[in-house]
Amino acid sequence: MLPKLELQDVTVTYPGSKNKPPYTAVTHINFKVLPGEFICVVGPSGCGKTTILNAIAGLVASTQGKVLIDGQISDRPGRNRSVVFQQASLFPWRTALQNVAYGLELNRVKKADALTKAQELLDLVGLSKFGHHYPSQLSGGMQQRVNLARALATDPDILLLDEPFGALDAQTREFMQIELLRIWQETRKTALLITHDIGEAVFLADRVIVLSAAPGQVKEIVPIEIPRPRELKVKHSAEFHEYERRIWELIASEYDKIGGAFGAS
Amino acid sequence: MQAEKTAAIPQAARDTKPKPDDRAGRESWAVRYKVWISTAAVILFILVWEGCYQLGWLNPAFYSSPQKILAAGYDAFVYGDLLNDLFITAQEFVGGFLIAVVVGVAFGILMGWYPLLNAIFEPFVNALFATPRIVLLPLVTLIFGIGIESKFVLVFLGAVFPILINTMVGISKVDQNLLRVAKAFNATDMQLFRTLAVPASIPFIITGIRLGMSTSLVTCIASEMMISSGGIGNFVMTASSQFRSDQLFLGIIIVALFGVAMTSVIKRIEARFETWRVHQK
Repeated sequence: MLPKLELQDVTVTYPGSKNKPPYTAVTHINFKVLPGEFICVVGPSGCGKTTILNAIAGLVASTQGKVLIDGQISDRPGRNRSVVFQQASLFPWRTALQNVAYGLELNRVKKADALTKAQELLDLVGLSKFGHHYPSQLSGGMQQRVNLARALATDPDILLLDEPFGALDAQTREFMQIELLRIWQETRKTALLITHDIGEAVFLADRVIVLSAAPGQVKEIVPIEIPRPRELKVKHSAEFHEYERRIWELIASEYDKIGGAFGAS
Repeated sequence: MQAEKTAAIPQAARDTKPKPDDRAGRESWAVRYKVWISTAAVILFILVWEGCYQLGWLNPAFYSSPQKILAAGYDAFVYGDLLNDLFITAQEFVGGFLIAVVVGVAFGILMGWYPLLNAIFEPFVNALFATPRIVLLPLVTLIFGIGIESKFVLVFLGAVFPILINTMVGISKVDQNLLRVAKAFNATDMQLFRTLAVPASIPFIITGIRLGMSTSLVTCIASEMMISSGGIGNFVMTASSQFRSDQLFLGIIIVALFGVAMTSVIKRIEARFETWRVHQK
């Protein structure tokens, strides 16, 4: 099967300036993602997780190597991908409905059609009745659902999520994880999610990509063979804990290398 | 000084939303009956003033009384030229101000969006913004005469720079998170401008309009007081030179009421767009 997304030897170096040497965030990244797969990326902080996402989104150019989508080189943002950012980043002057319709509007979809589609997406994320609320009137969890709906509205093949639930409280986060899995299963998107939460990665992913310390490289790819649909209680199974422990050890050994106080051994 | 004082207003305006914690319990009745208490305070002030005047505690050469001011108002409106003076001031102010809004917003957008235009015009804008515009009065009077035209120009100059500068800042300092969103959706430059820069700058533009209004009102009245043939500032100066303290107070009160009216209009507009402000964490 042709991979939906493929990174071939991707290196991203940010150019330096007068007082700043150039900085290599990630080097020689290789992985493939199959259509409809859910991939999570974890790694020590500062290892370039977000850089990988930005490179796939086309927001950052790779200095070396290439990003392939459906076998085609991709080096700029496109309609086949959408990004859910960590901050909800909703336009404060637009209602929830208008926010969801934003991408469609940029694609010059007729206004009525865009709003109809946006309402469908709000229904999907469980905010049917909040279309006319402004972001400031919504809770953090609701804002993040609008953010998700906005990303889905343009009907992308690939959904890129950059620590989407990082700013939410623990309970809301678990609820959103369940919601995300439901939506992912309904829409059959290919998803790539960046997180620092190992439990979240294991719970959501088909495969977890573990990165090494900066400059980030793929250290290991861990397939998660927990059957779907997954419920929250799976988080308390021995199998789940075993996956968590394994990934934790991989990351901890990276901290050992850079002299962190993680204490893996 | 002027700018500093007025710059404090939006913060206060934002705080007018009832906060459950800080004043509850402590004199909550004063919060509840605020309108009544304020009205009573104003009425009491007027009564005390009138009383002191009637008792001969105030020197009539300097201080007038509410009753006399009312009478002077009636005379000036019905028999005098006050209506004409007000009309002159209104023309100068409204005309100059509206053109300043149009020019300030247009140039602010251009200078905020195009770095080249910004580089060319910024030194001039900064220099003129930092200069108290009233110093231009003699020059403007030489060119445009002592009539309405020179005040019109001074009002324009008073209002245009705060509006221009605020618009420029609003356009150029776009929230980076929102910019990333727009770019991820493959927005063109024109779409970035229309869907992000313009709406994000609206609260800045309104702030600029508020600042511009207070500076240009000062400039307008002051220039009328110094060199003019009419207008409310001229009315006040004439009253003072004739030792007509009743007319003098009348003029002051009219200018004060005008200022209050304008401020409350802007406050309403600001409140309307309050939700548009990008709240950065």
